[in-house]
Amino acid sequence: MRTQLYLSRYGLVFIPILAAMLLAAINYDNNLVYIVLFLLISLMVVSVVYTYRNLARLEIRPGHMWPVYAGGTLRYTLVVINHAAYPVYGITFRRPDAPPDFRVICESVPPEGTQTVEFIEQVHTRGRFHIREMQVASIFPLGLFRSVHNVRLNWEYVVYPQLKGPRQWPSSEPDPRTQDDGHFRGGENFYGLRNYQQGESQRHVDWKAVARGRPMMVKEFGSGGMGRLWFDWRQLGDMDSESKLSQLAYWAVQADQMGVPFGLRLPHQEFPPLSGALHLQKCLTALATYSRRWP
Amino acid sequence: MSWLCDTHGDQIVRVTPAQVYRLLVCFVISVLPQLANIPVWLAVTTGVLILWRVQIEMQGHPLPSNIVKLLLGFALFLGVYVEKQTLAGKDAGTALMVGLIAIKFLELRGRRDYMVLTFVLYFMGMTALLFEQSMSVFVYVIIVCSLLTVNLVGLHLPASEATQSASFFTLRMLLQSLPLAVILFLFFPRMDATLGLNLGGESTGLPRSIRAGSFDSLTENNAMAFRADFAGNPPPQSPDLYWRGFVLGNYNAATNEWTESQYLMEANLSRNLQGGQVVEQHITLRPHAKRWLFALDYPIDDTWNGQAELRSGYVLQISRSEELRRKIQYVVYSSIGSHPTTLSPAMEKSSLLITGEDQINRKVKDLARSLRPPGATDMQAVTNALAYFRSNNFSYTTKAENYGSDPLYEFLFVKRRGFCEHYASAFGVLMRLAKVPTRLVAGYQGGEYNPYGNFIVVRQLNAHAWAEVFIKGVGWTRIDPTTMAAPSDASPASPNAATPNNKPETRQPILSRFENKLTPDWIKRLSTECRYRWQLVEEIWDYWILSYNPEFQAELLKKFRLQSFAWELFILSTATAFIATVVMVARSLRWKVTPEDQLQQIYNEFCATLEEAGVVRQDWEGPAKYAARAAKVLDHAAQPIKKFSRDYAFLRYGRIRHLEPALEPLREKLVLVREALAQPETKTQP
Repeated sequence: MRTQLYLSRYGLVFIPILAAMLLAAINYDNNLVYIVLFLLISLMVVSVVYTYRNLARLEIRPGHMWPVYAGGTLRYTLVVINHAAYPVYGITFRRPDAPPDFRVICESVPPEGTQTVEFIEQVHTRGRFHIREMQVASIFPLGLFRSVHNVRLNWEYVVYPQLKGPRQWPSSEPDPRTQDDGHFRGGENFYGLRNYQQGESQRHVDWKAVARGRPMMVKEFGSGGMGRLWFDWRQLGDMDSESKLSQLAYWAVQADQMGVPFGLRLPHQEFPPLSGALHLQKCLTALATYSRRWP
Repeated sequence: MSWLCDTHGDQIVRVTPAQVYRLLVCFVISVLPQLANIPVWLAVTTGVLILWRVQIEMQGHPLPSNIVKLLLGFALFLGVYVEKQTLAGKDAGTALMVGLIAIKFLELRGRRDYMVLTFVLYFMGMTALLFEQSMSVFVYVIIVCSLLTVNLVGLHLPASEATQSASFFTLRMLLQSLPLAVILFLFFPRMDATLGLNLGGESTGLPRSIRAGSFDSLTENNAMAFRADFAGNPPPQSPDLYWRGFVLGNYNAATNEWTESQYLMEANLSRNLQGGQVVEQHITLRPHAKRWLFALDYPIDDTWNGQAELRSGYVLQISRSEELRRKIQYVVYSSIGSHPTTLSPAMEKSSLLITGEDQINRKVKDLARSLRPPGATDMQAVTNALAYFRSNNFSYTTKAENYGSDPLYEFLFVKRRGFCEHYASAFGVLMRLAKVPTRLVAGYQGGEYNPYGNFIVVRQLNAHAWAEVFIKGVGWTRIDPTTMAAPSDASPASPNAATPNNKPETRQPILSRFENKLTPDWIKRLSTECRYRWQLVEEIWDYWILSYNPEFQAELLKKFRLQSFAWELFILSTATAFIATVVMVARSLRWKVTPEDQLQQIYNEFCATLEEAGVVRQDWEGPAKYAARAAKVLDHAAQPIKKFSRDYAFLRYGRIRHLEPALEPLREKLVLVREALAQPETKTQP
């Protein structure tokens, strides 16, 4: 990581003031004004070193990133590691493409300590994005100079489509493999056994097994109709494509929250019905990165 | 100021109330020395604005709108213009600066305003030095600058550690910046240039001309005019302490006024001095906005370093074109007790000239005639005149006397009371009427001897005027007619260098006379003691700081034959000092190299090696992932890379108590990686 140094804009304001002092010193041939002037200049020079070393031994690592839907807030963290034996102050972070009021500051990192910095950004459009670079800067201690270094992150993130949609859930399709009639009844198919826990309802206890001398077990029933619920692009024929994506994403999240397995059909892609976080993530990513020219 | 908006979001940083209060305190401190220079209404307004700002901050009110600020600014300009009739110049400029800063505080909101205000306050604090160059003011200004710097550092620190860390940082940075500042101070070429700026300055001092009442403002003025150090030699005896300022050779009877004569070039000034004893003086002169310098009668040459030239009439005049607006120190040699011996015909003529002689009262002319009966010599005329003053009950007073339309006549025949200018002027006129070549000299006489520092402090109340007559065979001779006055009232003419109070009680108002009687003796002695000690400190200060002037710098360079390389020398020395400072500061701040650092360094070398081979480590990649990726790409060196990375990861993340012995084996593994990479791929394939 290479640290660059610039005169900050405050420094640019300071220079005319020094020049005015120089004029006064020359005009009046005033040694004391010269001393004050030279002291300030030297202070400026010394501050360069401090500004530089404030960044010189920092390491930046990506931290955690939370999922985000368009129109929401993207939240992620970076970990700032200070390898130096001195505290470091006033580190600002900036993405080169961010708006001018984007500002995240890490006020201080103790010597040889770490600090997690949280970033919050508004995102408006779905898609796959990168945090390619993070500009780490500091103007400590006097604000006259700015040391900057650019950390290559190449950190990919996906903004899922916005969750909204007016449509009712689609009706389930019949699945030829299980001869299901396509109605979601929920909790009728035997799924497995698990240990009975104190205080639980005894309705589903496997009494036959208890009678055989086994420990008390509870019969669990999974939701029925595996693979019958399809969220299909073509079902939403009359909507524009962004709304379709939003609607599909909304359904998918709803289904995931209810624990219902679902499948997703897009013009060029198909995800067979499944449940679970990984499935949801795959589906949402496909929705986020959907484009007509795909693949 | 939108260009000032930084791309790092600084403009959205708000300052805390505590920071605002601190900056307000700095403002008040930096304005204090200027308080005497700004109008009362402005001082009051500034105070009100400051209180208003504090109130806004405490109550959390919004800041006033732009219109309010605009109106305030307009009112400020109007007020200053009405008061001073101008918007330029020292007083108006100071007033405007103070007022505008106070108004600017009303829009202090973010970091940008804060920093700009801080910078302006640096300048504001510095201006005190333009008016007064004493050590106390300098220390004051340095304190102001330090406080501002502490503030500035605090702005960039988290609020919890602001005060303590900021002071610590400032102190450290100030100390580290000292060497470079010293180099800059020594080598920065002093330009002999005025830039036409004139903010004004102190201008107390001798008047330009002498007439009745022209010294009135000085008789009670206790301010220091200059200080004379005798370079280790004993100071001259009191009768010789006549500090020559300038010569007044023209007398105008209509206005009863003596004015400065034209300075003719006079050759061989120093050789024409007869007799006397040479005395070296180091004189520190405060600015008096005139062009003359002072020295004991008679200066024999230009000042050392060439600040001033010796002109005809043995007047030292500043060589530069401008008037004296800074405190300076110069070295001059005088020959005390000597007499200039030549009088050119042109000068003799001008020394007898009275413009508008017919306006002089007849009685005065009669008196002059009686002083020089036919056949009497010049010397006899002088003696007679002095005798006239002695025997006719003339007395000395420092109180302003109201003289009517003919002050000369009134003084000689009616009131017979006056200050030195009355005596010198009247004596001069009588001598010229009696055809004795005469001129008046203005300067100072006496002074307070400081036994600790072996110097004499001359104050404004030592201002004096005396006459010089040309006596054939002797030369110009100093005659001080004031000494003929009755000493009952006061005795300024008894120079008493050895006693501190040579202007005793009579000079002071009644109240302070009582005060003097009531203060016990030991307090008086103590205060005298303190004054002496403080004068000594100031003397040392002036010697070290003020004596380093363009002339001295040029002299120093000339000594090493470098006078024509001032700029090159400056650039060279500054660059050296600059680099030295950066290196020294960086070194002093350098982290101790720990085994962990060495470990990191070895790993960095490893990464660099792989990068050369074409596998660049991403910043987030851990050692294991990176090694796996590199091993895949650099197949022929896969084994050493994996081995190295495993060891490194173990040392880096494992619980290792003694890291140091493990470093060398790791280095060896790195060498193995390099060797493997250096071998051509094809060799390892089969």
